[in-house]
Amino acid sequence: MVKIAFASMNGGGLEDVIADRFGRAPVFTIVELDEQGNILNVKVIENPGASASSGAGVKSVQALVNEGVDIAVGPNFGPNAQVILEEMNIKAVRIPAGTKIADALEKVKKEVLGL
Amino acid sequence: MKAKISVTGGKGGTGKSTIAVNLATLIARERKLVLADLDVEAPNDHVLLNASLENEEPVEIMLPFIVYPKCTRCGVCAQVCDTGAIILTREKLPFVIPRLCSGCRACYYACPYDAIVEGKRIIGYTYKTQVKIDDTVFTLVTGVLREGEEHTPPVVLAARKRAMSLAEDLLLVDTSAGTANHVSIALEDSKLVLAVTEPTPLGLHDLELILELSSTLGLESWVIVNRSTIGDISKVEEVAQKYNARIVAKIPYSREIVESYVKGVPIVELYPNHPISQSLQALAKTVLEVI
Ligand code: SF4
Ligand code: SF4
Repeated sequence: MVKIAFASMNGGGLEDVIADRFGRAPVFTIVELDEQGNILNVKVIENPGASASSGAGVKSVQALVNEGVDIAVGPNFGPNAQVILEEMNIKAVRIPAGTKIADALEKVKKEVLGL
Repeated sequence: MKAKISVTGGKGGTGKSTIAVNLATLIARERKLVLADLDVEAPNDHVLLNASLENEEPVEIMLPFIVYPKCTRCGVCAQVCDTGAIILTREKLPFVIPRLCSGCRACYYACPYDAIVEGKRIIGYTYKTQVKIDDTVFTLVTGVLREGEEHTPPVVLAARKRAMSLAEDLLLVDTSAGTANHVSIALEDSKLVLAVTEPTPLGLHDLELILELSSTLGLESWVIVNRSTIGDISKVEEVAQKYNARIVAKIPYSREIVESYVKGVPIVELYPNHPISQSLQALAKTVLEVI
């Protein structure tokens, strides 16, 4: 089982697209996959970093840690987020802003998970 | 210290530091002076004066250390930390991110299990340099924020404190640009604020913000227009009038100013008879009369 969080531009979900910035994305779409890559669950959580005045990246990472996320997908990661994701054992994957989440998911399955 | 004068200005090269080092040079001929460069993110008075940074002292702030055997993983420290410098791992263990920590101690006081002890971290330095230009001597105090650090106020405070402890007579402060919290710290208690601006839309915008801040702090402001020939000065006059601030000097754009940067010699020293030097001399005289 693996959990992947996508920084999402609008309301989240597989039809939404990747946000412009990881730490400031309004929501995260969290997709849970089984070993074969079948979708077990899709859920959307608010990003507490979106409105934070400081430490936005850290607050976002904290939300992902709480959800037990293994892979974080965004267009880019701030220097803080980058380091902390690594510390927290969450793999950071870069996929350009505007990519459809469903397409980004396929890409992660193929290129990161080797499915 | 008998009186403090501040030089402040808008963002990006309004000539704030140029005014500061030239005024310092002129005032130091008459009175004992300490110049404090509190633009800690980008201090450059020492560059303009061709002076080196000496007598280094570190600026330290508190850094929490978690005593893990005592920690019950209650998460209180992460909740109270408003800079987001504490993250909880999947196992709910708190983890401190030094670069984000402002040293506020909230976590230290909040931990119900005494699992946090006080450590220290260096976020910047202050320096003291004896500046000598011909027969003119004054002390320069410089605050420098370490690269990559975000918490400016402790360094501004430390440099201000060091400068004040050295200033027996006059203190001239060069603040950083803008109106952030640490600029207020630098301006506090000034007898006079010299707001340096340019006759451009951006310059005007920044000038309004600065005059607003300075009047909120209850300080008297004078306006200095740098590169006065590049735009419409009547707009500056309007803004100044609105805040009851008078325009005390207009400094035209000139090549000699650039030359003084390159040589690291204030223009009042390099070309004492240049029109710019003359306006600065007049300004220094007015300032000294008021102080
Ligand atoms: S000292 Fe303040 S800023 Fe630093 S970790 Fe503790 S609560 Fe956060
Ligand atoms: S508040 Fe104290 S006991 Fe609770 S998680 Fe933080 S360090 Fe551990």
